[in-house]
Amino acid sequence: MENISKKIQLSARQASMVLGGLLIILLLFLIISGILLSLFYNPAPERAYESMLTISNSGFMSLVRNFHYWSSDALLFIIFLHMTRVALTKPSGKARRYAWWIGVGLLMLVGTEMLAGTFLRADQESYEAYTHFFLGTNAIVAKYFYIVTAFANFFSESSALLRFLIVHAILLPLGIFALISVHGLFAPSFRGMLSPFKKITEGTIRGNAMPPKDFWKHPIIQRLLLLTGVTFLIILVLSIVLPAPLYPAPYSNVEVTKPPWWLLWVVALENQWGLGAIVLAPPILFGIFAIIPFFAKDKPGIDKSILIYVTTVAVVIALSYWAAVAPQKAHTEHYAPGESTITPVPNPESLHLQH
Amino acid sequence: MKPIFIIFLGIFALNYINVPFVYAHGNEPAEETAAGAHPTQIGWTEQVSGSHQGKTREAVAAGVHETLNVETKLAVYKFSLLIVFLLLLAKLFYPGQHSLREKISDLILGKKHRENIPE
Repeated sequence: MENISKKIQLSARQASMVLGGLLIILLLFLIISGILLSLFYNPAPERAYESMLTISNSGFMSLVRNFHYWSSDALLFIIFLHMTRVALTKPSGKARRYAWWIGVGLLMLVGTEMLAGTFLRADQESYEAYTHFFLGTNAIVAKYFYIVTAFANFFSESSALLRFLIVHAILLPLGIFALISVHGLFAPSFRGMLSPFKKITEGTIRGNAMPPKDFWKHPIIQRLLLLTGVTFLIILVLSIVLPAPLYPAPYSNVEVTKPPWWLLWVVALENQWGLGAIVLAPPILFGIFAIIPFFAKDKPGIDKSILIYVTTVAVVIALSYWAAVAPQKAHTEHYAPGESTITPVPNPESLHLQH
Repeated sequence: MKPIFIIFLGIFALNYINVPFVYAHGNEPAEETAAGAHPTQIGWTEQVSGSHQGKTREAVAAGVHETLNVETKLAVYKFSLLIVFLLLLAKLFYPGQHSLREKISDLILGKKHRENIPE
């Protein structure tokens, strides 16, 4: 029994070393499902929600949408596990530090990607998220850095959703894959994972079209295939059983929803300190993650880097639970459009609507 | 070529799968919009341009209540699952000198009970 338990522990530990590879596969799931969704999505503000309803009411496309949603959740989930595995195996030494910092950059890009995806739904939650983004930029950050108003205004008016779609579907995925390539240059486990693929490259250069026979038997490939299969099945079952959320069509000047689960920790801080928390909290969190390598020692046992990481994650999870159970609280309703020159919504006159 | 046809037919058949829905999709009837708004222009722009368009805050909140409840429950489950996996990772990389079962035994029976256990 002890031998079986040790074997399971060893296999699980080896599987935890290929989570980075699994993340790349999840990104591919997202790209494929995202391309299919973009064929049916209409980014015009007056048609966006209608197109979402069409997608959600269609049998196959609703499955694709659910698959896209649950793949993005799985991506974030696996990112947390991957980060934790790396933190526990210590990002010490120059190469690992650079890989860690690039990983923090990747986390920021993935967070932005998911936020842009939330905006695209064009439902009540999307509009409230967009209002937070707009007010956070123009009403708070702009007091100190006026130039950011150009950024927020670029993502307003009637082209807002189209621009978010381009950012979400093209710019950020390209940025993520570019950073992954650099991340892989420094991450030792990534370089180790590439060894079976190097043989294919060398074989291709020699003129062999097919991968070598032992490629599929390589332990890394086998572990990756097993994890991919299990993850795919879980996502597929979730897609069939639990559809992706779609709130009602949006109304302005009301805040009645909460953000997705991965942003709830910010809501807890917002409930205490108001809208300014959404501007300060994410940079503080990324800053804490960024300083972790400075405390990592290259010897076994728990050190300050692990304590800082575990404490930060515990605080984020505790705040998220708190925000989940706390009653919904409005933070942006007093920023009514009539009280300032801010116009957070597309101008209907610019759309030349016919009555 | 047969597997390709089977895959093609499978994808075609997926179009007829009726995925069960849990959420209300918020397809409000046209009469709930404010007087003067064209009933077909129920779009993001028309509804968000300045006012609630005749809907009270309570009505908007009621429309999202069911979806919000489900999402909140799912958020709690997701974080709970995350904690379980993070603890498993910690166990894998820092197994400690004693197994979990021994630690629980120590808690219940006290560490002195180990002296009575034969090697």
